[in-house]
Amino acid sequence: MIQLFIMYQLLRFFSRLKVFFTFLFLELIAVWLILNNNSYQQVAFLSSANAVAGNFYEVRDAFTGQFNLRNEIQQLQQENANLRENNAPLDSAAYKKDSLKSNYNYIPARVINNSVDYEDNFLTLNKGRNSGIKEGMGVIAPNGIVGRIKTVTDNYAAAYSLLHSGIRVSAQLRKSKELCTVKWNAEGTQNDYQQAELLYVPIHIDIQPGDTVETSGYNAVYPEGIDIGTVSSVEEDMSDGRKNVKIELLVNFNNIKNVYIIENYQKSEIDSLNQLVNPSTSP
Amino acid sequence: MNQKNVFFFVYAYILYILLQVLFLRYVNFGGLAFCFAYIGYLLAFPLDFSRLLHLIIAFLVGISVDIFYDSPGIHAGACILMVYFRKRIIGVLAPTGGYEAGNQPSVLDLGSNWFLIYVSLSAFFHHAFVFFVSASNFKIVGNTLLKTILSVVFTTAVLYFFQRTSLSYNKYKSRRRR
Repeated sequence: MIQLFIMYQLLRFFSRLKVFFTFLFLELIAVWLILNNNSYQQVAFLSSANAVAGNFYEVRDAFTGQFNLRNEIQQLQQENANLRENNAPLDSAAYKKDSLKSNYNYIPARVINNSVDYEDNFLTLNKGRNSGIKEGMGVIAPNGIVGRIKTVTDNYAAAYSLLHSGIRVSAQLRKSKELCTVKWNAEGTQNDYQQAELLYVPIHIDIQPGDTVETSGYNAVYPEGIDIGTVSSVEEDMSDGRKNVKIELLVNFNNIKNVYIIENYQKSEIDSLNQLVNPSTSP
Repeated sequence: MNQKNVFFFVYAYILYILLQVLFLRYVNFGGLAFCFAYIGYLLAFPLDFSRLLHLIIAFLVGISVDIFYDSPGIHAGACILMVYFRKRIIGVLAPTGGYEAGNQPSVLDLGSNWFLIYVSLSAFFHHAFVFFVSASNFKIVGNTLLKTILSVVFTTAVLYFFQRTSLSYNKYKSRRRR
């Protein structure tokens, strides 16, 4: 009898608070999703690479992309011209040499969705698993790096933009090959899509406004020597013995349409070596 | 809610989400004022609508927006929070003598003032959640708060504009009928 009474009271208690418990339950799911957001294990259908979202973005791009075609063609022609120029010396016998074979494969893709105004920005690309794209691959534009693939579905991929609070890129100065790290919006104060900061620049390093910063090629995501930006200001911070360096990004993130996704043929090899040397870093 | 209403709310769901992710997403002022007008969908539910169902719908709406924004959980959490506090807000704003049966949360039924306060209070819960959760750095509380307030103003203005437009459209239609 007393058990029945307790049961009854309990049921009454829960049914009176059922809205609150539903609220709590759903809110916990949301928080769990937020906390798991930055892992590669994230559910692919909850990203913009989702087939429905991808389709809508593709249709949107088909409309809005029309207005900018002339500009885009010009950019691609410029890139073509640069590549021709760089290619000329390779038209010799040396071209056949094995050492010149590239470790990288470039998959062209189109940006169908992009943002620059948030603290974590993402891109959606119109190529997916069917085109050989995998999580963690690098994304570059003709004139510099753009980001890194986050999730892929069959036909679309969602990528972290360089303009994302969790992205750091291993970089170096072109002239001295000194290592540094590029991070966007490091102070979190202004979401300026044209600027980024260099972290961990010791005070003895010679660095001048106008110097070019490029990828170091140490993390197997980007090849060595791809442009990131040019140094715009250097300030010495005596308190912690570092230089505060700001760089101007070369890619206009507000207007990227054509990108390449980089496949590194030796990525798994490099990653497993890194794992052996330093087990704490995850790939 | 009869069957016709259910269809209406399904259509409205698709319209609001598409408007948000294909158009309003790309509109903002100086990276400070953003517009999340899709919350107007959740705020348009009848005042006596089942709160349990409303919470579940809020979760689905939030997740749908999250998919397009690549921010799983943030908008879902914000929508649930907003809908949970809706009862309080409606209670605080109750006119003297209470609501009449069948009142809709709209300018037509309850007036501009009621609507503006209702939307801006609800939007504040939603936007504050979105901006404070997605803030990468807790040193910038002032900036985040500024963003929240400016965005609340923006969202409220857009939703109020929708209401006025539909009001004048209805007037225009009824005049033509006569």
